[in-house]
Amino acid sequence: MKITNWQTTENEETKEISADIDGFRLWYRLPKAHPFSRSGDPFLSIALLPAMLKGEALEIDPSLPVSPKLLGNTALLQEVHHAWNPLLKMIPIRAKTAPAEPINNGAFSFFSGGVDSTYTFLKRQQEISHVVFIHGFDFLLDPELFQRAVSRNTSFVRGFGKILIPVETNYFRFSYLHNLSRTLTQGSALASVALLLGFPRAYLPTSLSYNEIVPSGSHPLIDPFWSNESVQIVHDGAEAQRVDKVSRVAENESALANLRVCFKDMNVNCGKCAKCLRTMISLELVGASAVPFPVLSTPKALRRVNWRMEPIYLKENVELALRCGNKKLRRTLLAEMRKIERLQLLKDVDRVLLGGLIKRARRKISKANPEARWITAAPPKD
Amino acid sequence: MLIKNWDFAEQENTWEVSADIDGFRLWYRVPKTYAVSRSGDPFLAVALLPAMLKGEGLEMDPGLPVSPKLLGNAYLLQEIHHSWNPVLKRISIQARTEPALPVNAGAFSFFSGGVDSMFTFLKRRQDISHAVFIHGFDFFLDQRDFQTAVARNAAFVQDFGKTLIPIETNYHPFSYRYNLSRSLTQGGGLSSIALLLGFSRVYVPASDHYSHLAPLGSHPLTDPLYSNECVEIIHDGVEARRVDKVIAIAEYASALANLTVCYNDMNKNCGTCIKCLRTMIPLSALKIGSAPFPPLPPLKVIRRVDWSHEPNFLKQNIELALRTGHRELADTLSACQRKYDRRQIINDVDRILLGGIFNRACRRLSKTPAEARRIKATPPKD
Repeated sequence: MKITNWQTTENEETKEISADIDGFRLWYRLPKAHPFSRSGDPFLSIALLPAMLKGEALEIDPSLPVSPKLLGNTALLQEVHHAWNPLLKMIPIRAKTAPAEPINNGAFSFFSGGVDSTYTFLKRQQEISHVVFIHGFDFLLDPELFQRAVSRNTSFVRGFGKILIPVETNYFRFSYLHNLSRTLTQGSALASVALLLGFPRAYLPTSLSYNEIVPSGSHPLIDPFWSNESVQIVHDGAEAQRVDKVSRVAENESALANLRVCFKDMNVNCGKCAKCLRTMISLELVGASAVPFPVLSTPKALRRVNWRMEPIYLKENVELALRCGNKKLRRTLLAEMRKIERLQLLKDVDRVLLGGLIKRARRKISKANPEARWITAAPPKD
Repeated sequence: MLIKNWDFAEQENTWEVSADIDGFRLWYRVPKTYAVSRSGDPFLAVALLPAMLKGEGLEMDPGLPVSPKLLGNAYLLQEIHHSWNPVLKRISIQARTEPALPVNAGAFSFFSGGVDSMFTFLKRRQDISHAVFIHGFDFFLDQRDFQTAVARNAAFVQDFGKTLIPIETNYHPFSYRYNLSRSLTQGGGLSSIALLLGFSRVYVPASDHYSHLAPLGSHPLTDPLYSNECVEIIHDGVEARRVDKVIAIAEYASALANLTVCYNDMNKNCGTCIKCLRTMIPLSALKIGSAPFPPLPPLKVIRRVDWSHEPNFLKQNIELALRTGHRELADTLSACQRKYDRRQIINDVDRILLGGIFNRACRRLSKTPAEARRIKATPPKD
C-alpha cells in the first residue's frame, strides 16, 4: 500500500490537505487560520489498519517524513491489533523519518456535543484552548445541517472561552472502502486529525469505563501510541461510567442544553432511538430539568426498544435506578436486562449443547453473507 | 495509613531496607553488591492498595520523599483500580516529593524460571543485564529450597552473561494481612522491588495475552504507572500466548532444562498439578522430550483434571493439539472444554432463571463466609 501525491490547496475559507492512499484521494479541510503538519504522520495513522487488513507493506513517499516515535509505536499498535484480531496482519513500514515539530499552541479535545465529549470538555476545561468538531468521520451530512451544528457548538464552547475548529474529511468513504468498522478505526482516525493539527495535547473522549473496556479501535492501551514527539494523545474519561458522565453534564446548564446524542439527527434529539433513551433515562433518574429531549416514553414503550446493542448502558441505568430509589424504572429496565440475558443463555445452550444448530439454521434462512460483516477489533465469536 | 521509621541495616551478606506500614514492619533484603533507593517509592507502591481497601489517606514520613511522577501516576492507578473494584476506594496521599535518582545501572527482568519469565528473559536478553528472583512474595519456602533455586537460576542466567539478584522479603504476610489476593497485588509488589533497586528499565513478565486481558494487579495499563523518573516499568510478553511462549523456550536447550513451573515445588515439576499439566501438554504436542517433566499422564487422567481456572490455556492447548495433528489429545481436551462450558451454563441458568438459589445453597452447605474470599481486582460475580 502506497501513500503518495501529498498536496495542499486553498479554497475560499479552508485549506485542503490530501494524499493518495492505495489509489484513494483522502482529504481534510481545515479553517485557514490554523497551521497544519506537513509530515506523513496523519496519513500513516489512517493507512495502518487498511494495510494490515490487506497484509501489504506500507510505503510512504520519501517527501512525507514520519515521526520516528510514531513509527516505533506502530510496531506496538500492530502487536496489539494482530493479537486481538489475527485478520489484521503484521506488516513492514517503509518511510523516511524526521522528528515531529510543534505546530499549534494549546490543547484540544474532540467534541461532538454528545455525552462522552461534553464530559471530557467539562473535565478538561482548564487545560484545553480548543475543541475539534469533525464532519465526515461517522457519516456524511447535509452541509447545512453541519453548519447549524458548528454554530451551536461554537457558541457553546465560546461560553467557556474556547475556540471550535471544524474539520471536514472524506474519511467515511475511505474506511468503508476497506470494510473496516467504525469501532475499529475510531482511534486511528481521530489521531490522524490530532497529528494534522499538531497541538501539543489532544484528548480523545472514551465511551467505555475501565471496567467495561473490550478490544476496540479507541482504547486506553493503544490511543497513546498514536502520539509523536510533539503531540500527546490522551484517552480520556475511562474512570467514569456513562451514567456518571450524564450526571456531571446535568450539573452544567449550558452543557445540558447543548447535549446532542441522537443516532438520527446531529441537531435534534429524537427521543426514540436507544442512544437518546439511555441518556434520557439517566437524566430522569438524576432529576435533571430543562433537558433538550422530548418527554421520556412510558414503560410500555421502553419495553419495545431493542436494547441488545446496549447491555452495558442498560445495566448502568438499572444500578442508577436502584441508587436513586426509582422502583418503577428499575423494574422496567431490569426486565429488559433479563430478556437480554435469557437470549444470551439460549445462544450459549445452542452453542454448547446443540453445537450451534439453531444459529446455522437461522443464518441459512436469512441468507446472510458472513463476508458482509464489518471487520471489527476482535473477530466475530461464531 | 502511615509509612514511617524507614531503616537501612547491614546484615552478613545483605542490606535490609525496612519501614513500618500501618504498624507492620515490611522488609526487603538485597545482596550487598547492589545499591538501594532511599526514597519512599517502594513503600508507596506496596501500601497503595491496602490503603485503598481501608479507604484511609496514605501519609508518608517527610524523611521519605516520593517521586512526583509516581505520585501523579498513583492518581491514575487509583482511578483504574477503583473502576475495576469499587471496594478499593480513592484516597489522598500526603508525601514530600523529590525526583527519583538513578540507583543501579542496567536493566532487569523478574525471573522465577516459569514460562512467562523465561520467555521475557529470552526475548529481552539483549537488553537486560540482570534477572531478579524473589523469595517471600508468593509464599514462604524452606531456606534450603530457596538456595537450591537461586543456585540453579544463577547458573542458568550466567550462561547468557547475566547476573541473578536474589531478593528476600516478608511481603507475603503483609498482603495477606489485608486479605488481598496475590493476583491483585502482583503489580504493586513487583514494582516495589523495581523501585528499590532503581535499575533504569524493568520488565514484568505478563501472564495474559492481549486478547484475554482481564482486570488484574499486573496489567499493561497499570504496570507502567508504577514507574518513576529513573525506573521505567514495562509489562512484557502480552503479544504471545502461553503455547507460543513454550514454543519459543523450546528453542533453547538450557532454558528448557531450567523450566520450573510447579505449584508444589520450586525446584522440581511434579507433573500432576494444573500448572505442570498445561505446560506439559504443548511440550508433548510439539514432541519436545527433553523438558524436565515426568511423562504426560494418560488421557483419562487429563480428562478428570479441573480446568475451571484455566479456560484460556485449555483453549490454546486444544488449538495446538489440532494444529499438530494430535486428534486424541484434542478430543480429550475438547471434552474438558465442553464440561467447563456445561458447568457455565448451569451457573447461568441458576443466576438468570432461578435467581442464584443453587449458588446460595452451595455456599451455605460449604459454610464458607463471604468475607473469607480474598479481595481481587474485580468484585466477585455473585
